[in-house]
Amino acid sequence: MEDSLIIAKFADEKTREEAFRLLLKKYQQKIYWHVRRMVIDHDDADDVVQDIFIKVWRNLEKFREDSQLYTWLYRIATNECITFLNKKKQKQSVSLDDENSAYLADSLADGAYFNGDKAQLKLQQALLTLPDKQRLVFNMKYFEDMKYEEISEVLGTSVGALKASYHLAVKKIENFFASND
Amino acid sequence: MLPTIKPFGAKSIYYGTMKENNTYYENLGDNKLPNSLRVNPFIVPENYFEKLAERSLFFAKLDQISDTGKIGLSIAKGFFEQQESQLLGQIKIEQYKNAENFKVPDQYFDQLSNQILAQVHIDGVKKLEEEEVPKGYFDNLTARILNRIEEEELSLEIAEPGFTAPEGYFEQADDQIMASIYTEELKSKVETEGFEVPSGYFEQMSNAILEKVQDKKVILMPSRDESKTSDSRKRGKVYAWFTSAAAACIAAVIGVSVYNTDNNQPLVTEKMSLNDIPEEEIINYLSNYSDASDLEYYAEYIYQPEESKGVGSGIDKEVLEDYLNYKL
Repeated sequence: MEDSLIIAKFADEKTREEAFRLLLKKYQQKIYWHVRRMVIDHDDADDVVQDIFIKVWRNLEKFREDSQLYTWLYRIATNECITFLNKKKQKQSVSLDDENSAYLADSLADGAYFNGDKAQLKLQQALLTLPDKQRLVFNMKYFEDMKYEEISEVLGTSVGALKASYHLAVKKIENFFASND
Repeated sequence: MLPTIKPFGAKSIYYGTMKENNTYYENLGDNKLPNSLRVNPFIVPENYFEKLAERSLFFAKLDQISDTGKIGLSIAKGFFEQQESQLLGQIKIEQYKNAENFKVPDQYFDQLSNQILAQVHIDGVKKLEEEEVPKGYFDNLTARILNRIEEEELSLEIAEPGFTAPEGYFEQADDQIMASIYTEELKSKVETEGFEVPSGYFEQMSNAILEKVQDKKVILMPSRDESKTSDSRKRGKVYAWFTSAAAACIAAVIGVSVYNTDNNQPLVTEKMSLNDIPEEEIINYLSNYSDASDLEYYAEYIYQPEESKGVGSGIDKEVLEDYLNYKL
């Protein structure tokens, strides 16, 4: 279903719930995987995704169609992820400016709902050597196949900066793979 | 044909010179000649008889060769037919060798290869002309030529397409290309991330979210899948709150903490609505949804009065101690 139709239905009190169900059906998996890749742990992802959609419910009426709905959803999801990860860092007494995501290593090592092979695990370990924001760019480009322009809209960062960030991320991953072969 | 070589006759060589010596004639009886006459007047060359056998064998072999085989002396078929023309050719070559007054035009050999190639090209075109053209070729030809002319004119008028590249694009291009190459390489090894979700998770999640949003009094309390939670989450199950004082305290803490921790500034109406919720409902809610890790979180506020001024101050110390003894 078209996003504009979902928004129109949501504006009407009578069809609001129906619209929200449609929105959930259309976007919940995309948002879940976007979050899961960032927070690693399934339960954490579940918490964050629920918070995201509750926020969407509260604010969808105010959504103006000057941007695409999925970009708006991704922006909320990304902000929620960053907020969650910062809280997690604080709990673990990790600096917010830390240059890697090693504080998530336990979540990955826990192995709950991770069924990856050696290569997949290695890539996740490599990703934890990146700062959160670089990881975010890499995930959106690599796994979600998003265009730089779309990522730019979500993160509010210039395309040039995103390209540089992605290149750095790839370089680090390449080095990780080379040194851990 | 080569002439056949005949052996020499032995008689023709030695006929006149041979002399018989000491010849004995057995049948003469009394008519024997005196010894002086009985001398053989013929002689043979020195060592004649010694060499005779050898010589005879040689001639016999020679004779055999000439008769049967021409072995080793045969000639190729048609040799004599070709020999004449070969000889004539050889004579002509010798004549040309001697003739030094042949000349070619200036730069003849420089132009020769071009002329040959041009001829080959002409032959090719001739061959093409002989072939058929595609159906309707000439119907479209005029239009195509006109199009081509228009195109040429346009390219003369607008030589540059007018595109520009972003600043620093080409400096970054190498890095981007390398990143793309490695990405492709990596994707061939690791296409997906390997994460999975519990079965039926997305259906349950939709329902859980809908349940929450339908309730106007949304409190951000996470629901947990106890069977799969990590160790820190498994420390406590849901607790039943047994004193209304403690519950009220915690409810107040939640109200404050939700307000303080929500970066997106929850609506005032939501904060106000919490006050309108009957205590019993809050207690029921918490007993259903909170767990041990939440308790730790609330405790932070209870024991840090500067962050939550007044929270817990009204709770009887004894009640609180009883509660903590029961729980911890």
